[in-house]
Amino acid sequence: MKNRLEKILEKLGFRKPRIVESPIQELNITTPVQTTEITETDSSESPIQQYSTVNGESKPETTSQKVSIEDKLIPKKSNLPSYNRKRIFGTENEYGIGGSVSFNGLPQWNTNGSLIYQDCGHIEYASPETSNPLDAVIFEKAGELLSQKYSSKLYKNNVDSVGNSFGAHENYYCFIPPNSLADILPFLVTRQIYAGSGKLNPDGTFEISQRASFMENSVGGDTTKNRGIICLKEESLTDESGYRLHLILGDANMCEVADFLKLGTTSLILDLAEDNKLPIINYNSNSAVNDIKNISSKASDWTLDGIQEKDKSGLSIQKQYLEAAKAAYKDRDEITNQLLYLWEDTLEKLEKDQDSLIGRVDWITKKALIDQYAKKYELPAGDPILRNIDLQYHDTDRETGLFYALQNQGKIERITTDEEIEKATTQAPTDTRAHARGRILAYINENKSLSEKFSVRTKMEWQTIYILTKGTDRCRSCGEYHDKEEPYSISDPFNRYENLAKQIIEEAEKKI
Amino acid sequence: MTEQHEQYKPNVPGQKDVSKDYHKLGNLDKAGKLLEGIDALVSNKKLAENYTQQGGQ
Repeated sequence: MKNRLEKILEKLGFRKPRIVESPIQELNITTPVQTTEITETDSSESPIQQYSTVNGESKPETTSQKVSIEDKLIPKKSNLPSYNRKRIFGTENEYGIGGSVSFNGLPQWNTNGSLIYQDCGHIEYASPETSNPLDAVIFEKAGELLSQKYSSKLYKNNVDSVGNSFGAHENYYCFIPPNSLADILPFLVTRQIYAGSGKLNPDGTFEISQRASFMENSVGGDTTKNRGIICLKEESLTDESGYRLHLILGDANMCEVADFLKLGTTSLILDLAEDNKLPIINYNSNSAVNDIKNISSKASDWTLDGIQEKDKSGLSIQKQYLEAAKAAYKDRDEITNQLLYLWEDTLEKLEKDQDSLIGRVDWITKKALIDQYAKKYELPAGDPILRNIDLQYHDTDRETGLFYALQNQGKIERITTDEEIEKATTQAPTDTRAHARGRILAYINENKSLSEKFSVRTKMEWQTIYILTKGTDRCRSCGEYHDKEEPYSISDPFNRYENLAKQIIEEAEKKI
Repeated sequence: MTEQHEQYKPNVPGQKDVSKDYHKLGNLDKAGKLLEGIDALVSNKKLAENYTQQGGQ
């Protein structure tokens, strides 16, 4: 039953507040539980009774209560808008290292469900599985904070000064095999006009994408050489029937909206492909590599030689995909509406007023910084200081990074909050298998005695959780005591595996 | 959903569409204010020239 206040708030269009607990506190069985406010409705709770109102502002109260295992595992709905499409998103960032670095302790699984590891000499962050592009942005941003633990200076970019490149990969769980996706090439080739991060070359030329010039094939399976615009790397990380599309053509984004557009529009294109609603675009895929590089080399008037029509405009191609997505998915859900609005608005501004995209599109923001600085100090194109601006834009340090200096001054459009990002450094997404991974890791970390006294530890793989306990049976062949290893499958990325997490925690608690 | 999320949500019945109002940041370049607070952070050393990494994926 809704109380009177809830009905009034609902009538006025407000969402009622909901109480959630921080992950550590949820696992702290007898200590006071601090509560925080979010705005997603959960009919199973009566949040208003738990709030006191002071001067019109709701203030969370501290209560002392015993939390059962059931309570720990009650589904926690996301506080984000709805997204009504079955999809899994994951991002991987290879960070450039600009200071001291330590790979000690890596690989490291984190309670937010992510993995940090060393790859090709880089600190790499692989986000937890998320169910929508907005969560994907938040957990990618959380990775910037978590990764700083391993180096005094990290750059979230994709290219160094001597021509090496390193990736910002995207992963999409989809229901159509990647080798049948050639029809989306025109979209991928042109996506950089809003998703590119920009690059100032030593000769002073500016490219809108950092990665475009490293693409060598339209389709391919390699990731360190002969890179393909559509990557066919086969590593599903699931036993389910779907496919993992692993894209390596994209840039590392600093702007939240650009990242949201990159991930969100690509997912919409996959929706169209799965629903057989892609616009018919007559495109010669043999031109894709040249087209992606040509587009990257221009700040406007983008064209695709591979288009077999009179209108070869990159903006026109994007608009065709946009119109198809609007026709199919407008009003499907809140996030999709946000995407469609931002996509259309961005394309309009790319055509009519690029300056208005400063703070939303990385390459435009970076180019404006470089151009203004060069003008102010009368520096030639390609001056080392201007190249510093290019690099320092990607500094993930909130105090020294140029992007974050702009953001701290309110000059960057945001679709998340610092609080959401901070929360995402410790708390896993609640609606994917990352939930079980994060909960179990948090539980084991919180109950140190399990690992110290009973040698209960975890070993993680993306689709399996292993619980290791100190061996008591002597090995017949070698005579030593081996750890007992119990594997638990979490192969379905859409399943939060709540019961499995409950079972593992219950069994672990028996040892305390 | 945060306040900012609400601003990007133009199709919720009963709520004002404020999404258009949010995009007023774009004239920073024209106003010459983009570099405010940035100058001091820009390195004057050969930071970018010395930035070399192993090739990755």
